[in-house]
Order: sequence, then C-alpha cells, then structure tokens
Amino acid sequence: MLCLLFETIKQHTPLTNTVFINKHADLVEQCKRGESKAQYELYKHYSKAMFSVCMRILNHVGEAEDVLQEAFIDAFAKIKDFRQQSTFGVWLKQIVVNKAINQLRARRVELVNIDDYDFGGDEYDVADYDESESYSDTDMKYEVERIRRAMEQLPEGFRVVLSLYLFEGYDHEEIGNILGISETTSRTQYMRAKKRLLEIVKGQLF
Amino acid sequence: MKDRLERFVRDNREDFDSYEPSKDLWKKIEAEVAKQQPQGKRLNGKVVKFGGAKWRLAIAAGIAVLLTVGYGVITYMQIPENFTGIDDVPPAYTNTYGKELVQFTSTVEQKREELKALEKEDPQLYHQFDAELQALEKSYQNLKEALPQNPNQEDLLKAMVQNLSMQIDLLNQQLQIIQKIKEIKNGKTKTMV
Repeated sequence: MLCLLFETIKQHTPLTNTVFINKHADLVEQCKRGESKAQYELYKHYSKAMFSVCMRILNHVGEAEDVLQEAFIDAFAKIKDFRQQSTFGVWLKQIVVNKAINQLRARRVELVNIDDYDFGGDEYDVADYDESESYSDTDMKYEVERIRRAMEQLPEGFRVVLSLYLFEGYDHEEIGNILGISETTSRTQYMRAKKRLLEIVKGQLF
Repeated sequence: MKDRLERFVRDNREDFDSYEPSKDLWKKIEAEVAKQQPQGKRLNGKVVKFGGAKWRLAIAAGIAVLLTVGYGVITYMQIPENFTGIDDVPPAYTNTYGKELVQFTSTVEQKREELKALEKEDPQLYHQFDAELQALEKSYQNLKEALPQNPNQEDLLKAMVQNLSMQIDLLNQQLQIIQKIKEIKNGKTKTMV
C-alpha cells in the first residue's frame, strides 16, 4: 500500500528539472553528513510547497507549521535511509502527508455525512459546470486565488478528500485506506466536495 | 475523464503552493535538529555521533574499563616476586634483561587473563588464539631451558625478550580483534552519519 502511495505521488509530483534534481542529490548527500547549511537549502526550496500541502489538508496555520516542523526534523533524522531512488521532494512529501493525516486523526476528524448535504441531485454533472466560461492568462492567478480561498471554506471532510485527490494525486482506493473509509465513499465525497467548491467559487466576490 | 477543475489544477499546480510558513520556523527546526545530534564531531568529514540515548552505553563502557583496570592492578600486585623465573637469569644480567623479562612476562600474563574472558563467549576463537600463543610460549620455554648451558647468554636473553614482546604484540592484536567483534555485535557504539 505504501508502495502504491509512493508510485502515485511520484506520478503526480511535478519534476522541476534535471539540474535541480542533481543539485538536490548533492544537497542530500551533504545532509547525510549533517551539514546544516545543506539542510537549510533544502528547507528553503521545499518549505513553501510542503507548507501548502499541510495547509490544504489542515486549514490551520498553527497546526500546519507544527506538522511541517515535525516533518522536516523527521526527514533530516531519517535522511540516511533515503537512497535517492526518488527525488527528495517526493520522499519528503510522503512524510509530510502522513504527518498531516496523523494530525487530522489526532483531531478526530469526522467526515461530513453526505446525507446532510443536499446540493440538488447527482444528475447534475460537475464536469459540465462552468464549462462554457474560459479564463484568459491574466485571469489565471486570480482564478487560482479564488479556488484556494474556496478550499479554505470547505468543510473538513470535503477539503481533505479534495486535497488528497485533486492536489496530492492519491487515488480513491488510497484515500479510502488513509482515511479509513470505503473507496466509494471517497469517490462520492470527492464529487460532492468538488461541486461544493465550485459553488463557493461562483458565489465569491472579491 | 478529467473535468475542467482537474485540468486547471493540474496545469497550474505550482501556483497553488502559495502558502508560506512563518520566518522563524526554520530556527525552530534547526534548534531541534541540533538537539538531536549535539555531540556530533567532525571526523574525516563524517559526523561521529555519540549522544542522546548512547550516553548509557558510554557510562557502561566507562565502568567496564574501570573494572578491567582495577582487576589488572590487583592481579599485578599479587604476582609473586619469583614469578618470571628471574632466579634463572644469570646474576650478571639481572639488572639489564632481568627487569625487562619481569615486566614483559607480567604484561603477557595480564593480557592472557583478558583473553580468557573470551573462552566462554567464543571457545572456538579462543582456542585458535591460544594455539598461536602456545607456539610462542613453547619456544620461550625452550630458550629458557637452554639458558644455563649456553655460552652466549646475552644473545639468548635478547631472544627471550624478543619472544615476549612478540607475545605481547600477538595478544594486543587478538584483543583488538575481539574488541572489533564485540563492536559489531553490539551494533553501534559509534554511529557514522
């Protein structure tokens, strides 16, 4: 199951470019020797992306920072075991996601009961939603911001499933395993979450 | 079946990573990481870690060294005067080779005692080591027997001293090997990071 997770993250993680990867391989080697400068370089490069992962899952600055801190400390402590079979980013993200999910568990997350939400029936296909509209490049940043803010307004259960599927690249089987729900529940939850997200986005006025 | 939202997120994935942790978070991480390897010393570019939970091991090792030294001192004090057969050494050489022989023989005895500790743990290795020592010991005894009749006693005494120092060298090497084996068995008294 871990292996599966790993593969999926791997597929979905954007590889910046080869130069970066090689540069980071050196940094990782330096980290293995305990060089704090190299640790800082890696932190500088990955902190934003990893913090965003935490924020999307936890939606709480304090908890996200705690998790990020723990994840980096853990990563540096275990870096000897990292054999460079994947990129450092992929390996680190796995730690971050696991820790964030554990944090959620500690919070006793309860998934939103889908029956409590009535959005107007399944026949309404989310995929068609907004399909006619198109964004110009200048609108793009604005649109990213809108989706980002809408994510913050989602109920926790929706946000977590959406975050893991849409942003971190897990499939529903994996999400089911992680959250202890069935694959079908994850799928339904995701559809509902997406629908709700788009509703919030549409209703937003900035 | 990728819908519009999924495509949009995929295409602009990096723009979504816009949350930033507070500036002082790194300081916390750095402090925490430093705490985990505080006694790390640089040795040939590698960090030799000897801290945290390993202190117990260090203390145990310290006690073991103290006990060994103490035991050695006590045994040394109990060695009888004529132990080395110093009487066998011709009076003319007592002051020169006699002292050396006494010193070397007692060193050999001490180290053999240390080696005996191995007998229980690894009898096979002990007998192998012991056989090597026996060979040297035997030739020493031969030299010693030949001493009274030999016209060139000084050469013979030199040979005896040399034999003893070879025994000490051999014992040292054997003890080193045992130490290495113990280190491997105990896992990491030293951790290379």
